[in-house]
Amino acid sequence: MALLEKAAGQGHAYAMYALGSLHDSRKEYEQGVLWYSKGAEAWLPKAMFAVGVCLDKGEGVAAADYPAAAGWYRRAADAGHGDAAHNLCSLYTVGRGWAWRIMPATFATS
Amino acid sequence: MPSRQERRKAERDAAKRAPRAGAAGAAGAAGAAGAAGAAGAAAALANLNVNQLGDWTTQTEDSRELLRSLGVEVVKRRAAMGDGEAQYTQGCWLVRKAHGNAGVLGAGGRSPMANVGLALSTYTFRVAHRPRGVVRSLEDDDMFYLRVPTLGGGGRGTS
Repeated sequence: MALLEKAAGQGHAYAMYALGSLHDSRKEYEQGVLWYSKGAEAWLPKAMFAVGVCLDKGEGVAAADYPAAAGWYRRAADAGHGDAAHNLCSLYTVGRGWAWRIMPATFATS
Repeated sequence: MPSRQERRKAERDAAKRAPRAGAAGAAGAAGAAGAAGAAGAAAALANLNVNQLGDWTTQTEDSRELLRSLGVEVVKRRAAMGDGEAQYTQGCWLVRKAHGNAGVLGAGGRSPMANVGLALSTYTFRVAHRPRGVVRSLEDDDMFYLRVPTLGGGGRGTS
């Protein structure tokens, strides 16, 4: 893990994602989200998607934040991530009681 | 700092020198073993400056790729020199080793939320209702409809 952290420190986006994935597998969700976020900031689509899932499920964050999750799904989907498009679509259709309120805002900021 | 073209030229030159070094070794008193050693060392030196994608500024997702193309020793040396790509490769390798190749990395991580997945029909799937009385462009329209291939007939169905 130390080597991965060194690589991530040098801006290696896949290393950031790998660290997030590693923490995730150990159920250290807060650390996982932190590394996923760094990967997402480095424009790695799968990291953007992972941040979206964490926000969607409320893992590693204070509470589920569907609008923010939709935003990350949207960015990942724009970068060609199919699963992100799937989850974004799920959010809009299944909705969980919020979709109609945030949809115009999401489209406006995309 | 040398430009990318200069680095590539240096790499090409190094690669060209490698067989010559091997030939020179073969001609010498060292014999065939010495020739192979010289060629191997020159090839390793050439490999130190280039990854399989052309340069060391490229990030590779598949960490095994670097191990396959360069070998463990070169990767280790590169990682010790502080190269991020090699550190990533070696780091992933060690994690896999520790976890018994259980898929913690790579294919692991987040997956789509299957529990809220959609059952897509073979026809146009209506994702959202179009507000009435609002004129939308074709692009806007596409945002509201998910097009999936049809089994027969083809084309976009009516909703």
